[in-house]
Amino acid sequence: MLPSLLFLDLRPSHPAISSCEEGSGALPARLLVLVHVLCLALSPAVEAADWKPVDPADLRAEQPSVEAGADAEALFWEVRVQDEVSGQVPKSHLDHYLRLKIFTERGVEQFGTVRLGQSKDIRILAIRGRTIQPDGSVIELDGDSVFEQDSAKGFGVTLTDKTFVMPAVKPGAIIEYQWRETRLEQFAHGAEFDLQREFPVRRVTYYLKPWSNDQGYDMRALVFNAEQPPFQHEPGGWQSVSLENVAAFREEPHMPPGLAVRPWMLTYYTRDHQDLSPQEYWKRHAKRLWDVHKKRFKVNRAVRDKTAELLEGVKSPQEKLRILYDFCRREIENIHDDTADLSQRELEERDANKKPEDTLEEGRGTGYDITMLFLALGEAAGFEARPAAVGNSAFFFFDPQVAVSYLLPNMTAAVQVGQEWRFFHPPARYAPFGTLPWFHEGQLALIADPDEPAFVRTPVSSPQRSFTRRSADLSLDEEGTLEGHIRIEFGGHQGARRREIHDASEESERRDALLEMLAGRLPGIEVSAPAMERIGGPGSLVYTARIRLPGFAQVTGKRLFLQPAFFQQGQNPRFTAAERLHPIYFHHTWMDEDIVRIKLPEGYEASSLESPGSFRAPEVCEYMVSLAMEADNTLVYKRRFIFKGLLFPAESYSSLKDVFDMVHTRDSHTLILRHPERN
Amino acid sequence: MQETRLHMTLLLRRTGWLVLFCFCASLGLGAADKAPAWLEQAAALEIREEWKEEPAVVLLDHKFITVDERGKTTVRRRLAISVLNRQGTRRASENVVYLTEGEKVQAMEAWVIRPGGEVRRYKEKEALDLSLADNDIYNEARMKIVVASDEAVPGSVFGCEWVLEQKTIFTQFSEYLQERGMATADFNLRLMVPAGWRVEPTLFNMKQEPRFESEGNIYRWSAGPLDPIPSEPSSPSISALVPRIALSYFPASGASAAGPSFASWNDVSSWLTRLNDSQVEDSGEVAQASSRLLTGAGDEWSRLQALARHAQDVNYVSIQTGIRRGGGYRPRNASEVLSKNYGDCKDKTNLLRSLLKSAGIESYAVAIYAGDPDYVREEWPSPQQFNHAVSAIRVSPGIEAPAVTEHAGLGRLLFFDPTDNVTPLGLLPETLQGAPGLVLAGEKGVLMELPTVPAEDNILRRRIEARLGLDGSLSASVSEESTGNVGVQEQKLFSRLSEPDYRETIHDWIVDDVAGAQLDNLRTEPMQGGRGGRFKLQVDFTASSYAQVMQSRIMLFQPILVSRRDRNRFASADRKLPVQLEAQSFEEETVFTLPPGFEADELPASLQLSESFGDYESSCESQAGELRCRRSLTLKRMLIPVENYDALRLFFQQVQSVEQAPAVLIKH
Repeated sequence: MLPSLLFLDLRPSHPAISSCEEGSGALPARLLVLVHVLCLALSPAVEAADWKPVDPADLRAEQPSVEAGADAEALFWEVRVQDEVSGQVPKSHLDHYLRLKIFTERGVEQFGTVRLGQSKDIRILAIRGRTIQPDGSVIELDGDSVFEQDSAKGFGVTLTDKTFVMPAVKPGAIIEYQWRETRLEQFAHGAEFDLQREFPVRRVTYYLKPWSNDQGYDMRALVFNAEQPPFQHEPGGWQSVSLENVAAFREEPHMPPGLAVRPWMLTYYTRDHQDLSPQEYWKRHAKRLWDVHKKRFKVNRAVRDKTAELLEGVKSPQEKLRILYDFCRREIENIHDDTADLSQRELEERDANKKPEDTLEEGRGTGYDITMLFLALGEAAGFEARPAAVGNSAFFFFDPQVAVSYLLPNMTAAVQVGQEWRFFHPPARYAPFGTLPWFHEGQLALIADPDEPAFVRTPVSSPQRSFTRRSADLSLDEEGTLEGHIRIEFGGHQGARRREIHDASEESERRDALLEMLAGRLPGIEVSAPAMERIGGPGSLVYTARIRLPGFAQVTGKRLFLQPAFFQQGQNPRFTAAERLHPIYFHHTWMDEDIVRIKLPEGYEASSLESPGSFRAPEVCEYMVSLAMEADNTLVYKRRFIFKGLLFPAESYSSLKDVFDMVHTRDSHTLILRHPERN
Repeated sequence: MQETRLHMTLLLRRTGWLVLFCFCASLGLGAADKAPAWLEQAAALEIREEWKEEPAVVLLDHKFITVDERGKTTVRRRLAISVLNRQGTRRASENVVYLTEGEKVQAMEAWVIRPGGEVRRYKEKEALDLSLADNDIYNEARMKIVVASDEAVPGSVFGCEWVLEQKTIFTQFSEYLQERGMATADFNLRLMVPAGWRVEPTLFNMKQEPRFESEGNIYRWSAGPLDPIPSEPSSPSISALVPRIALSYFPASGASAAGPSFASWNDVSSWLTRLNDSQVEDSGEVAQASSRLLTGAGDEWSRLQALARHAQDVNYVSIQTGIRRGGGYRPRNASEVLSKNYGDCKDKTNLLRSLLKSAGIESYAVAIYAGDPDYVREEWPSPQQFNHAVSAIRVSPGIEAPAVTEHAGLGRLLFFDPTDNVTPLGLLPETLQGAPGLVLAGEKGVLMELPTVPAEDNILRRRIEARLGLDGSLSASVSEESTGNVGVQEQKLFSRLSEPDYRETIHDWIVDDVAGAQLDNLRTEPMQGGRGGRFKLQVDFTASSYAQVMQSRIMLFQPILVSRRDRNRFASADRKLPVQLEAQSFEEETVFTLPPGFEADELPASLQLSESFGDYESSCESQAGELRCRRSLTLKRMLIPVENYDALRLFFQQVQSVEQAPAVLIKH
């Protein structure tokens, strides 16, 4: 899905000299050097308090105008971002000014106290504030009411809170405050600025004043997930961008990552040519990737020998890749994995790997080291192997029309097999050969190349791969108590997610987690011999347990009522809210397959084996269910649910909710059991 | 000399900081070193067989406390914890709380002896120094902490030693004998006071008294092994479970530099009364405000209500300074609180008392412990037992309310908590009911139990009118009326959430039992003026397939429509601790209009239960195309001993079973 995007060039008149990689937050070292050497300027002074006039209509307002029912509403929210160099130190000054109208007691409680965090690199200065009562009277925030306290100190780091309580705040009052935030040793380079808050905002405005330099560095700003706002030239060399009537941000279940839905702005400096088309930009970036990383997967003798040892006698390209991949995934320890047996101290003291043979020799490395080793082994095996920058759907939904490498944050491995590029992510311990972590699936990957770069979309795994297979062999007694053995098997992403959670935990914690999982939906369940098998792989993850559940079937005078969908009983519908703001996003597709065998009490039989009914929603899901009796009075319930969708617009929420409600209703299907000789 | 429980609460709230700093904490580790002999000895102890499943065990917990003539106290603590599994690694940390004014952590070192015998040493500079301001705007209390969870892999022993110098305002302190309720092999507390001083110990929650010995002016208590305190739902608070020793020491006559001593509750009351009463104002802006607020208020109750409401409306903000000089017990000036419209519990109480005094109404401040009615112990007179302030207002015999009580010496008192901005005048927050509070009436001050609200005054009444369609569809209208503290809880939920969030919460509540329900209408009638004694809710909803229709002639549904799945907290067959029940009362009537042609074939059995702790009744009957179901539950506020747990468990099992039972309709 494309973000709503504005690309705006804020450059002064300097022609670009050479390209510069956009950073991932911190100012590139190269740029810092230039700043230190060449730029000397005076720090802009913090101006005295300058309050904007208050509209009497705002004082009288009793209801918010952006969102009904809001506890408070920002009448405006302004941030002036100014980069400069003073005392040879780059600084980014953010002058904030927020005016809030408070409507309720809850608003007083939530917004009447303000806490601003300060650290060695972020200084908070010049806090000023005042409360304006509905009658227009003004109560200033006095300096004694701003408290400064070190919230945490240690190891050369001090975090300080500056906290103040706005005076005499009541519903109906307007509060406003200003402060300067100075970020030391950095510019607004790779900086993410929120355009949405936890309260509705009538108008948010960012004013930008880039670092004035003669090195060809220009600031660019991109606004995401909002109608394209125009940038305005302001006096004093400022440029501004505003959004109006921004609703408060609200979390919803199954929503895309925040950066894919919240209005926000990215600023960065670059020396790229202004007229680069996205195609030209990415071509240049792919070449740069190649230049930067080519030495990191260079084949040497150790790599060549290891490859030969691993692939001795192996002919098939597919098999060769599988062996190399599994070697990197299983035999090379990812030092940042929570199962790695390295203390933080050891992590810090170890020398970084510089070449693939270092990783090979040590048997461990960072995720990047492991990827580079895999590429080197692939090269040594005769494959065309390349690093590839790949999108991460847990972070952002990448679109190549937005020519910013910041949004293509991760590195993975691409190997050419025949005419096709295949993708591998060997640091992902639980992504078996041929698969990727969910957040790299279906993403565009830019393959590093000195000449002919290419964007290739990574494959999306089938629902069948991420399966949950559940089986239960149970018996029911006349009191409605169910007893027996259950087995649950998780494959693909379903297994990977659970393995990541449990692989570093104790056996007792795993047992507790399994108990919690069952008891959460089946109160009163008694569980014995709970076990998680194959946590570290290979194969699918398996949970097993013996269970006893009094009152599972409901007993009346004449009948027993039995819900055969044992694994769904007690589950709530997936979606409950009547309305939806954001698109609905599932991390991956999946498939559930259940088979439940319940031996009925002696003499009891089902008055009907009418199935709740299968259904199919094209391109979305398939639900298949069947009921049958086996010879020894055993009821067999089979259920299969395949979900194929990933991303749905908010407008389709109602239909999607209906689908899941239909599933829930069918899962609640109940059978009537009767004893023919009684009643 | 600080309360471990408080430490841990604050520590947990600060987890975010700890995660941030854990990374740094490991960076500064020195090279492998030698552990001190006391720690080596402790590490050699054999873990008792029955403790081997525990996450971690305290091998040694020794405190040496020295008090000098001027009351300066030096505390040295040695702590050794054996980490038995990965969960236990979190226990490999130690903290010491101090005040920025007049207190200093003189030394703090820690070690981890790894399973292979390698020792990691944490020097003092590797301790983190955190503010305990938490939700306060400012607080002088800070904590030094060493976190070694990264190094203390299972099989390790964590040890820490620190020294704290302090000049407390009190000659008292209390100590828990079991760090965080953990299994403890060896606890030892040694107190040395100047010659001629008297020491009085008070023991709480002791199954077995600690061993005691004294030699001259040195006193020593030791205990262990102490089994771990389990964690179970609805159990009494940890302060009622973990063994604790409280010590008061009294200087020899004439030596007053050590600070106030408290031999009785009258002493405590006198001291606190001085701090509080000096801040009450009844002139100037306060008197004007009182007069303004009382405009139009006629009778006594209206006048009290007007002033109480204003104190409640003052924003709660806590600023803790000058603690060592009694600042933690002295409210700010009423006029300052009035003009800034914010303050903490004692500020709000003081403002109310000032407004009342201006109106000629007598009142007292009351010191109490919020959040744990078991915490304050009558047998240990000490201001350190309190963390909250409320007010007691002298009222006439005409004022009747659950929060009113009669005291022989102090007269008729109406207790009121202005910090709780929802609980109305006449009621007390649930957590304060039955808790001991010290009424600060100078030398006449008394520790008395605050009144409780009987179950019948805390009641939720619900009526549901529902209609079933031939296709199993449902339309229903739920009307609720909650009174007493139940109403307060409903009001608090309503007040805390924004309008969309509240609607979503109510929707989720319905959907929990009625899948796919759509809310058609939601109306609330908040407590009168935001704080009457009654909260009303009406919600209408529909669901397309509530009842299951089988073979076109049988219809199956559950006649308990909502709150059917209240989780049974007592499902577990094992119980080691008593159960603390809270007073609760509930009545519900549901009337279903049945689909044409259908009549009841099977209905849930009626159930009537009566136990010492509560009563339950439910029944369903059908006639003339209607099904009428009733249920009611009353629970008393009481402590259920472990021996009676089975009866309690059976009670809730039976309730749950009947509430899950279906009704069967049949078409003839």
